[in-house]
Amino acid sequence: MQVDGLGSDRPRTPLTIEVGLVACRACGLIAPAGTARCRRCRASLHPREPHSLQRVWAWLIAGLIAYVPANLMPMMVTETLRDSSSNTIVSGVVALAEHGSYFVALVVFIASVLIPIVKFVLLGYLALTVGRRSALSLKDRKHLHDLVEIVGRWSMVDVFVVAVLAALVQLGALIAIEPGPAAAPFALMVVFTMLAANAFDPRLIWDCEKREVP
Amino acid sequence: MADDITRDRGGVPLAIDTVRIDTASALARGEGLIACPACDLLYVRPVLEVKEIARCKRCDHVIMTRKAETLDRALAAAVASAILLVTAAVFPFLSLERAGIGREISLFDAIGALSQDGLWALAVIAGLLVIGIPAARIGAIVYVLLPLRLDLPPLPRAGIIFRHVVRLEQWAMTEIFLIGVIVSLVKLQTLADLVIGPAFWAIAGLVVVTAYKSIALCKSTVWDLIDPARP
Repeated sequence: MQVDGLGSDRPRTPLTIEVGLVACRACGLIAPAGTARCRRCRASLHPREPHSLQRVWAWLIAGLIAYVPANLMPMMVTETLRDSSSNTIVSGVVALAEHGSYFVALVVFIASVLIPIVKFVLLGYLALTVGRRSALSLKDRKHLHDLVEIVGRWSMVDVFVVAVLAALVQLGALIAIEPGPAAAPFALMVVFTMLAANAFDPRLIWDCEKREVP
Repeated sequence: MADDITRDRGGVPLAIDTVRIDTASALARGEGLIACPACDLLYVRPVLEVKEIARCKRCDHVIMTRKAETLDRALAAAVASAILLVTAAVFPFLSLERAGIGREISLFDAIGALSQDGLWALAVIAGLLVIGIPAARIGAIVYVLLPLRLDLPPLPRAGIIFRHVVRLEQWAMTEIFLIGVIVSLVKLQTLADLVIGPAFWAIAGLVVVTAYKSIALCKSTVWDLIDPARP
């Protein structure tokens, strides 16, 4: 069921100063403009999240900075009787593939390499195209933001893989697995990019659309 | 065509499908209106039939829902989640054996393993993501929904708490943890003898119940019970 607008197909006025109202992004309650907090859920009310793009870029850059040691340092260290080997994310994927575990290699590659890179690119794209025309429609951009929000958290898989392996494979001198120094920055990268996606106010995408303005 | 809202601000009543807005002051307070949280388009607040979904005409975002029996279902899921989470925490999780050396771990051991090398912060983060936040959400759902189900007024701060229930949904990563465990198991298959303990199955069950809970929970309904949109 499509909610009817006030009688026409053309986009109606957004909620800002023009109509003197503000909507709570958390619970949907509408209040007069200028109300500081939502009466229902106590969230602070803003027509648009203040400094949204600044915060998006800040978290995104923090995520990029964290991603460097996450990839350069080893994610996991394996010590056996014979030798000690450490693997970065990428070398781990390669090792898995060489070992024949193609499916696992693919999962780790998608979660730890593909998704983070896609998030950086998409969030950067969304932030750059706010208020501008782009190759994609506004609706597509909105869907992209949804995608980034939903998919982003799955990058954390690799951290849990390392956790379980390190906990389980502690067989003394025979074989022991330890988490590597890359684990913490990688987890931080996931958190930072999730925060970047959250900081992006999707309403900004639509602010450049041609509307009927009084 | 000029904007209806500003045109009718002079006090002319708007005749609409579901709601009648009669005065400019009501409009100024936002009565009978609802906005798309994703693109800020203003709509007349619809009255939905059970199972109907209201979507934004412009961006397709879900604005309002009316799910059937949401309180019963969400509370049942919350109780089931609590039982499963406790089971997962208490019982053995996984165990490994090779060449006579064996090791059994609990869920906490798996999280704690990230704290080797003095990096305890990472273990704390993981603990929050897998156990802490899911547990808090379960408690919060009961805190908010149970009084409503019993036709009692909401408990203090129910609004803030429910806002965080919604906000923290993406940070409850039990299902991601489960996938991580499965990937580890596949990796270890060839290495040694693995035994999967009850805690593993409890987590698998928890993932299913959590998915059900998020489908069953109707945020619109709960918000309306906490504090209806109309004063």
